[in-house]
Amino acid sequence: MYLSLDTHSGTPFYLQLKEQMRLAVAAGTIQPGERLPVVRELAAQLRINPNTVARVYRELQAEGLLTSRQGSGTFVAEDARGPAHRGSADLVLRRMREVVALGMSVGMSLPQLQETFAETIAEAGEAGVAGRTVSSSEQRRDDHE
Amino acid sequence: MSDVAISTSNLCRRFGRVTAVQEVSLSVPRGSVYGYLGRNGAGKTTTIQMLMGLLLPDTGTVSVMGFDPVKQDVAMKRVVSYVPERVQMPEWMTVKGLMNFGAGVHPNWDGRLAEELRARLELPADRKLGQLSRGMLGKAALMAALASRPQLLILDDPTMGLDPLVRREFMESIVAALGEAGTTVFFSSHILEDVERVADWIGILHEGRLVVQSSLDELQTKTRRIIATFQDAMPDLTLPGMLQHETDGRQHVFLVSDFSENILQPLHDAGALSVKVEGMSLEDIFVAYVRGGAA
Repeated sequence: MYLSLDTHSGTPFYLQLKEQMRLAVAAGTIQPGERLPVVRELAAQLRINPNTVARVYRELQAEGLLTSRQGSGTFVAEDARGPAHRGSADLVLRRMREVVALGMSVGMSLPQLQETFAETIAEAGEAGVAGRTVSSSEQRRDDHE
Repeated sequence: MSDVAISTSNLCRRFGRVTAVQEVSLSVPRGSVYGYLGRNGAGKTTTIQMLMGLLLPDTGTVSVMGFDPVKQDVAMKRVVSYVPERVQMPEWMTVKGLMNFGAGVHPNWDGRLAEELRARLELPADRKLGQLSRGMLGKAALMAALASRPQLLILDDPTMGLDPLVRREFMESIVAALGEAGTTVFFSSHILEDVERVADWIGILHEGRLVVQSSLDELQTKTRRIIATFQDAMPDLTLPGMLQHETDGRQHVFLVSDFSENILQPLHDAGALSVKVEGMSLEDIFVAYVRGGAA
């Protein structure tokens, strides 16, 4: 699992990490039952405070994405996909709202927007890439949770 | 044991007619990593020297790990490690000699950790300290500071003048040390990206005054950029807690210190076409406070 932190976004690191882990579970990049690096290891790798990593693990456990087994570490929960998909769908919705707001701000009509969406979705279906390609723009962290 | 590692109240220090530090009341929670920020000449080093008992305050009080740093300096230095801005160590001593010396004077010296750090920081054991580059000397000081297993580590701009690779090794070593035993770290720095990565508390010093003291989370939640666009020019718009306000007439950009959804209402009432709220990086927040002046 590749994690990256954006120091210019203004989104606290723990929120960035939570979102990336949710997406990684939803996309299958990390699988149920898979073991995550221990807190100190991941903190050293990202050069961030171990408390931040500990908080991410703790909060994702509360969401049902992760589970900890006494003495053996932190794992992706067996039934993590459900909550991960729900969390990721929220993110997709927020991004869609942004796109719609952008379209309207530059004067696109609602039918125009609808048409553009329909075309984009049709294209993705034809290419068979729906849900597979993650463009770099999706890495932006500009939500204000 | 108190739950604060460092506490000062109304600390003041003047040099001649120049006031370096003015009514600074720090409260550094135990176990926190506290980033102490300010422009050059803001008073960071002066504060740190008072914390270490190297400089007497004109007025105000200091308590470091429960000790008075002037009257109880020996007891304090047993649990506090300090890396100054300009490291000065005996030039004739070798790196290995420094490690032996540390083992002799520090009751909590951890020889295995010292050797581990020496290897990780690529310090040549037989090299004399006088022959080390500035970056290497800084690394030697950090090695010695961490190996004495302090409860509190005070670093005065530890990465200043280091190349990016050395800086990274430096920060990695500090992060690795944090995993242990809830060490408190108080450090000043110019590299706000480093601070944003490791700090969970932030103090911003501006012209000798502490204008921000907050957890990083809260600071990032409350400090926001608001961009409001109007159909026609809107004069005289103000928001509560405004740090900065720029406008070309129709578009207004506000930086506010105490954001909540409520403060947007006047903008909607004034008929804003769009109101956008953005988070700010620590660097942007820092600039907003030291450019805008007061909090």
